[in-house]
Amino acid sequence: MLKRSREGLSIPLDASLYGALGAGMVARDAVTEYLNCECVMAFFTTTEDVEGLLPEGMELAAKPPNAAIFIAHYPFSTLGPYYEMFTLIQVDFEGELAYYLPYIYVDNDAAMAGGREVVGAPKKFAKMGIVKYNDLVMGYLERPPGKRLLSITIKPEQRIPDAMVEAFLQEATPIYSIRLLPPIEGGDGLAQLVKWYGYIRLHEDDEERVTYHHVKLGTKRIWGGETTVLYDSPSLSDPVHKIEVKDVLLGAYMQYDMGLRPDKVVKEWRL
Amino acid sequence: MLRGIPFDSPLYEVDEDRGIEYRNCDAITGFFTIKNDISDLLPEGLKPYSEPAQGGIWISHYSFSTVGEYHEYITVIQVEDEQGDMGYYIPYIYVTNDSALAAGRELAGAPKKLATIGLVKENDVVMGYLERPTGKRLVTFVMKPNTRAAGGLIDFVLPKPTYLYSVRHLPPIKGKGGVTQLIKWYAEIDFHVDPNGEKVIFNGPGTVTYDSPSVIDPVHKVEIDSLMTAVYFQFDMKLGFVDILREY
Repeated sequence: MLKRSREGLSIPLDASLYGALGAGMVARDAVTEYLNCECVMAFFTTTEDVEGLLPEGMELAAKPPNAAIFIAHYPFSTLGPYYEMFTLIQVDFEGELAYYLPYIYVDNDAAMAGGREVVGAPKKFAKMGIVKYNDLVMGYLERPPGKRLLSITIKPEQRIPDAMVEAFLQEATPIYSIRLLPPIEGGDGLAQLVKWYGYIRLHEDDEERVTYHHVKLGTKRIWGGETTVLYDSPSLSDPVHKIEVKDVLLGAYMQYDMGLRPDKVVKEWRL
Repeated sequence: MLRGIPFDSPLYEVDEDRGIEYRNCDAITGFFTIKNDISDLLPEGLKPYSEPAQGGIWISHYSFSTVGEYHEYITVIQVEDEQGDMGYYIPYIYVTNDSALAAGRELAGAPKKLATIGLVKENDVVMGYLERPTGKRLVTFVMKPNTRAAGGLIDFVLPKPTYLYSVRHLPPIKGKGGVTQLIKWYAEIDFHVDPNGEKVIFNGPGTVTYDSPSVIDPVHKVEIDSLMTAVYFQFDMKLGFVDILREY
């Protein structure tokens, strides 16, 4: 496209905001890496109203439907350090269990543009934090600062058994979101349902390290306990509260590494 | 309305007829001859307007807009399109607001990044600056607005409308679904008029420096040969769309 300059994955083409690709690579080959992450998360049942947020062809996977919220800190990633909050709705798409991503927030421009433009993760900027206070870990989301949209408070007392972790957190999680290029004159815009993967690799301790005489704890660094999820001050501009929290099935604090990889465009709409 | 994701709470919404509207803005801009060959930076379909090529730097504060309040830095190269129109190609542009960033990148292909940008007035000097990250000073532009600007140069440099060009890009995934378009859009700048009926535009001596160049944000690639004019002005503005000139 440029007459002579080297082109990257994203604009500005000669000083790409995100996406380091080698010669001959495409976006599907690019993995964004995250090291030494931590998050608070809750997995919960929600109301069937969330079906209205899903794209055509996608069904809720369970009755009542399941959803999850994560508030995470990434001290190092190949997009830079940042905080992130996202909501997932568990879905069935073409016979496979997966997650649809309706809301997501970050505080890093490369992460925001990369997410929106490559996979359609509908990222906005917000103020987020993970606070450790005495026996509690709290994650929060504010937009703008001072308008508290969400808080998750956990008392991480006990390692979660490995079998239970495997039931809730697959290592390779398929995620769907809608990538959008708005039309300018009509007919020249595009919406695409994009499939991508999040690979969560919980940090692990070896068995010896978590064995105390007759007591053997889970090896993975994920701790559960009493969990409260609150939409403190709802906002129509950032309606994360639309995913109502009915019963919390699992609340946890965890430490992990992660990879994200776009996979394919599964559906396309001309606009 | 043009809307971005999320669908039920868009990060930006733009009225197609009214465009993006700005009120009570101020800015400094410097227009200069370019020392080096910048053809490398131009997309197919645009060529430099003059020989030697000319360009500019713009640093502004928008106290109100329909995408929010923010600061902006822009590098422009004066070009001619295949329809014979004069305008400005935008190789580099920075903002301080997520809605402006997403709307710019997704609607017009303005290759926006976030940065620390300031427009400060101290004593007799107005200074604009660009840092990325904060503390890494990429550009400092100082000028002394001591004389009302008059004559044809401002009307030539910033006509109404001022055409702008950028490349809108959605990366392909597995070779599918990618889009690359050369977008022609425009700015309509309405200079404020004071009680005496004069436009609020001042020029004066100015200096632009690329203090601490960075290959990650290579604004310094547009080398400055001779600064022809440095201007401070107060204005309202509207941004709108003209056409998609090319699809690559």
